[in-house]
Amino acid sequence: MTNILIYCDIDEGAFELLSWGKKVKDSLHATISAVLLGKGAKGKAADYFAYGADKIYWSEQAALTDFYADVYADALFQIANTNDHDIVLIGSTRRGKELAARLAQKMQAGCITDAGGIELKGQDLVVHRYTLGGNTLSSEVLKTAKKVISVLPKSFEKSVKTAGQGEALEVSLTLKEPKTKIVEKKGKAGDAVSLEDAQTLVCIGRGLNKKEDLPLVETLAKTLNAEIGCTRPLSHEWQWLSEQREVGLSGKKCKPRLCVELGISGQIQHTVGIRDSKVIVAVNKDKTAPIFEMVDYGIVGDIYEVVPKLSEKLKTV
Amino acid sequence: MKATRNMEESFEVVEAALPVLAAVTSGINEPRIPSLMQILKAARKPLQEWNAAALGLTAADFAQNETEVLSNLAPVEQRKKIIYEGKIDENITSLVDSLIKEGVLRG
Ligand SMILES: Cc1cc2nc3c(=O)[nH]c(=O)nc-3n(C[C@H](O)[C@H](O)[C@H](O)COP(=O)(O)OP(=O)(O)OC[C@H]3O[C@@H](n4cnc5c(N)ncnc54)[C@H](O)[C@@H]3O)c2cc1C
Repeated sequence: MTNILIYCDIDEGAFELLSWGKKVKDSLHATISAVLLGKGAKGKAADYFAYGADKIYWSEQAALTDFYADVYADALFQIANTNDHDIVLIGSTRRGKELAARLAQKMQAGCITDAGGIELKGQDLVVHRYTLGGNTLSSEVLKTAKKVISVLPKSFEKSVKTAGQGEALEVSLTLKEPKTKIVEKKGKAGDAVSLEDAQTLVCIGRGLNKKEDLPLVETLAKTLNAEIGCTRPLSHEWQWLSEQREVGLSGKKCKPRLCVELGISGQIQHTVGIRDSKVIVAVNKDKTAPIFEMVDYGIVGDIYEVVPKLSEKLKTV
Repeated sequence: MKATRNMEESFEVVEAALPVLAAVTSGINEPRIPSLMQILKAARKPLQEWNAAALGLTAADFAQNETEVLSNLAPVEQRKKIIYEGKIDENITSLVDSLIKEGVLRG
């Protein structure tokens, strides 16, 4: 019997991991448990069962109110250890990555972070992840008895909710003071866009000369009923668009039916975010741009000339 | 030490007493271009080599690789790669026709 333990600091991520767990648990002869920590933990149990958890371990201890990776790792370690869990799956969020490494150390487990997929080969878990800055895709297995794997958001599809139920156990943990202290939390400029769910995506890159030219892209997006995404320079260096719109390795991984890439060179750190699109179109004035190696349709041309014409044409269909 | 962390939903300002290990994202700082004097001086700075023996380690200490890489390959791209060059108006018409055929334009 394999016991799989799941934790993600963002519930959506946990639901994805649970959905995967539910699919594979029979072939692995596994039980799927999830951990809920911090304020409001208990109240979330029903949703977790609905996505496939057999068992929930929860704690609302005061020490778990803020997320401190060292404290949370300790909490997960105690839960995994006393309940015989040998595989722990963690959502590879910014917090999850740190948590996974710390937990693995405590469990003396092997650890793989940022997995993009897990495949079953008999009873083995073959983990797929991008390596060398996203240039290659590697398949790896953990040789240790205990395993900690952090899985990137959107790697597994969330299943439909069912009326699931199971056992919710409150755990009592012995926790230390964290070694760091959060002194302030600053909200981010609200942009509730969810690029991962977009059916059509228009991405803009450094081919755009200035922020004032964004309407060029907005008009096309509107015509296509698309969301707007961008490359890192636009969201980080220049901050013309919000961080929620960055597509790629450190941004969002999208799976639209149609993805239109405008003035984007096609660096791998960006294209991993669009690789799963059904159809990819690019407009770039440089015909040798790497983006043209991964498109279905490409137009060699200046976005300032092509995009308005494309918008006009699309309005007529 | 005080640092700002960029988390998914917020920025966190975090404090910790030394010693501290901080992992820093790329782009945090623009490396300045060293002056000629600094380059010349750098060449004279002592270099301390640390090897396994100096650290009191043997090969056995390194032999505990916990992952096994089965393969590590460039991802395969299977795309149509139809590239239009030249007459823009005609190209746009062809592109839009193809997109209609692909069924990826919404009604
Ligand atoms: C660890 C790491 C993580 C990263 N994560 C991400 C990530 O998640 N997402 C991301 O996007 N990047 C990421 N990057 C950055 C990435 O490597 C590239 O630097 C970035 O994607 C390039 O953006 P770009 O294509 O817009 O710009 P450029 O590479 O400068 O390309 C601009 C393109 O526009 C074309 N162009 C210019 N003017 C016009 C015009 N008028 N008409 C048509 N075409 C025009 C040019 O020919 C060129 O091909 C990451 C980098 C690192 C090191």
